[in-house]
Amino acid sequence: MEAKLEFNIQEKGGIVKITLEGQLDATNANSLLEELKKLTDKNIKEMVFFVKNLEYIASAGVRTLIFSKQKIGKNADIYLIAPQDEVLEVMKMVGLNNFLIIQDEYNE
Amino acid sequence: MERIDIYPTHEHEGIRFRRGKPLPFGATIVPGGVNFSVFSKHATSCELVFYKKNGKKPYAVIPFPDEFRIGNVFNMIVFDIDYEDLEYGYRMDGPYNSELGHLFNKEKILLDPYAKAVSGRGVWGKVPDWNNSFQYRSRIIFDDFDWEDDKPLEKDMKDLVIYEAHVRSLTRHSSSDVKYPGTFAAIIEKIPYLKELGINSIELLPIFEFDEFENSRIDEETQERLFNYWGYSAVNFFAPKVGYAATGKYGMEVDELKNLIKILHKNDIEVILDVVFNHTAEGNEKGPYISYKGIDNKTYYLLTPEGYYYNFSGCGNTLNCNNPVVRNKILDCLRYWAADYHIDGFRFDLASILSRDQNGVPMANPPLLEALAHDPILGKCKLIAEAWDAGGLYQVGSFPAWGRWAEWNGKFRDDVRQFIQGNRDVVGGIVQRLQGSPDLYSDRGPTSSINFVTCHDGFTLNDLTSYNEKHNSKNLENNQDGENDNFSWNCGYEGPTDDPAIIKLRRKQMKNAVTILMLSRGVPMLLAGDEFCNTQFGNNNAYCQDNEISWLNWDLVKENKDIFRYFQKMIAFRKQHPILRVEYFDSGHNETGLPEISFHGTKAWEFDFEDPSLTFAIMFVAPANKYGTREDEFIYSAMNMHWEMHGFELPELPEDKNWYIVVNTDMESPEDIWEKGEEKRLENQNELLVGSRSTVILIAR
Repeated sequence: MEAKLEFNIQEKGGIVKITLEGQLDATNANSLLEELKKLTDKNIKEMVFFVKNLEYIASAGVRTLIFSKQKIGKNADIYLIAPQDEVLEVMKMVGLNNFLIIQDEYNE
Repeated sequence: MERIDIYPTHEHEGIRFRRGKPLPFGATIVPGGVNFSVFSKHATSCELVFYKKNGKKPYAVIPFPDEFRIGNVFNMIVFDIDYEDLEYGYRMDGPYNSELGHLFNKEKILLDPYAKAVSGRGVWGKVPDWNNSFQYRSRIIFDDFDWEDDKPLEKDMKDLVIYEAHVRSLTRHSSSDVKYPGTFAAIIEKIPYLKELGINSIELLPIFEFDEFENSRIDEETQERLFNYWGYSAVNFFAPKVGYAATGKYGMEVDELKNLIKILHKNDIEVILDVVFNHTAEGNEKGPYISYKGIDNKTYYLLTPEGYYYNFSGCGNTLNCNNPVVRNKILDCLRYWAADYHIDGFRFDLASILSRDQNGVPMANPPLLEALAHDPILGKCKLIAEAWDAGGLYQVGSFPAWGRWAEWNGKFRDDVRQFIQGNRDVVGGIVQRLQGSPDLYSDRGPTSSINFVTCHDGFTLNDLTSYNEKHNSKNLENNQDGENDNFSWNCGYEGPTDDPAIIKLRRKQMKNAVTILMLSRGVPMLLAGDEFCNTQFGNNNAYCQDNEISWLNWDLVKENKDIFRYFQKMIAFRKQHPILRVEYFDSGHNETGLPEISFHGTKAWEFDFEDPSLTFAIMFVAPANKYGTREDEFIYSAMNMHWEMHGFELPELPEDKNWYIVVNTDMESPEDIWEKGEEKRLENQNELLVGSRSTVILIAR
């Protein structure tokens, strides 16, 4: 069964806003990753993942976040905005909450 | 810079690949692809089989070209793999001749012995699809966990207080009050409790991938399923048990376990793994093909001359641990857990099997044990042996150690149990156990002795004082399974009772046991839940019980807070007194002019080591210089396991010192144990009355 993911990426002035909806897992993480890779040479200061409507995140999805941190924004802040409980819990259980800034809202 | 020298040279069904590297074994991410490498001495050909995640049918089968085999190793690099969505296995062809030990079957899809993650049992207890021809599926993992500044804690062995726990039992009960019961993640929520108790090392029952459905069966009466609950039966040695991870269903068990270890370390708690290398989950001749049996049966298992499995493990098969290939696999495995998971130590189940040669005969210098003892990567890991096996080998005190191996001291358990029960004949043993068992470990030191009264295997401490007989009928083996010689005593009634006298005696006996444990030199180990009277309802072999028999009932912490408090204060007492935590058997006269350890009868300085007795006392005298304390320390403990009260004449102290009472197991909480600084001065400094079946500890101030 193909998990459904919809995503939208916008970059402006070093700030990348990524909206994720649905389910991020092995079947679709690659397409997201391919899009994110296009940002590797840009000078990114902030990456903001809007995940209010992201229902769950599997290993592959977590890897895309790690990729974001390591390849795109080594010096950037990575935000996770309004994660659902399930997604937030996964982040905590695998120890990713350290390098993410987790907030309910994003203030421009 | 990306490498340009690794490029595909071959193509098969649209999959591009080239020659690989024979080392390391397993699947390793390399630039542009994945290197696959697998050993088989007797296979004639090998195929790599690729599935999509949860796929029923393979999407690709790539035969290894013969020129890709170097020696007995098949290897290739496959390009453009979506690692996250891949599950892989091998198919091997070769002879089928059971008399020669060969069981090749080219239809079977086999798990990679070096798989770092295994899918197929993602959620604990979820009945698998038995029609699926690929049950245990190798996965590729990433190496991107951020350990920050963590590393193994490398605590001194002498300072450990080990807490033995089953991942699921610890937090599965409804009283656990955790978000994801029964998981690695849930243990994090129990860390404040563990710190409050005072332990500094947690020893986890097996966490390598196993199949809880192995030999599982339904209890017709209750319709409950009995599981392979303890998991002493590895499917694979490199992958964590997915069903123990709350994130297992998302494929993140590796990260969840690493995160748990990192956070335990942050809280100054070491992690020891119970590892089972003596056998695998493939059972006997009739068992399933999972991995080794189909990859190279003759190499991996100990076989009789007729090709049958030796069964020194009691579990159907015996891993051929001293075969150089298998030995290296075990080494690779432990190095991996030490390096990639920051594991602090290992406890080897039925470790004596690891000393048997390829014909099953015990060796004087088993190469595997020697290699482990001297391994550079394991150089600071604790190595702990269960120094016996199910084939009759019993090596407590004689396990080949090279100065590195400690042992579960089964004699400690048996002597302490018998002594508190009132068996005067074991007093000579108790004298040894308190000193760290110099009779067993004279040339190795007290830290070779892991002291324990209870462990997962047998009665809980509460049940040790509540049952004379095992009550294992729920295991559906007609109460035939489990140990018969438990040295347990129900204190007058079999099972739970309202009788206040019996309840009081049981509590006293539990306190006596933990007092001897914490007072003894060597390394103490507690069974999780004993500190709050957890019960298994008389079951002394709960290996198959995934229910309230095994699950720790945390409501009991409130109900038995006196026992919890006693354990906590006794652990603290041990930590306060370095003379109890030593690496050498120093017992002779020291600079205080007194012996470091002395034994006394009811008369001071008079103790007949030959005479059976239920009353004696031990005194530790610690010079301040030697132990870095503010002043010389005196600890005197009188043990009266007789059913009558006895008076003990106290040894004389230096003029400026007086005896103060720390512990009296005859008293009710909170007067049974006094905190540091709160100890009560004895009115009579010459004689001490010790109640029936009681232990008293005094210190001098």
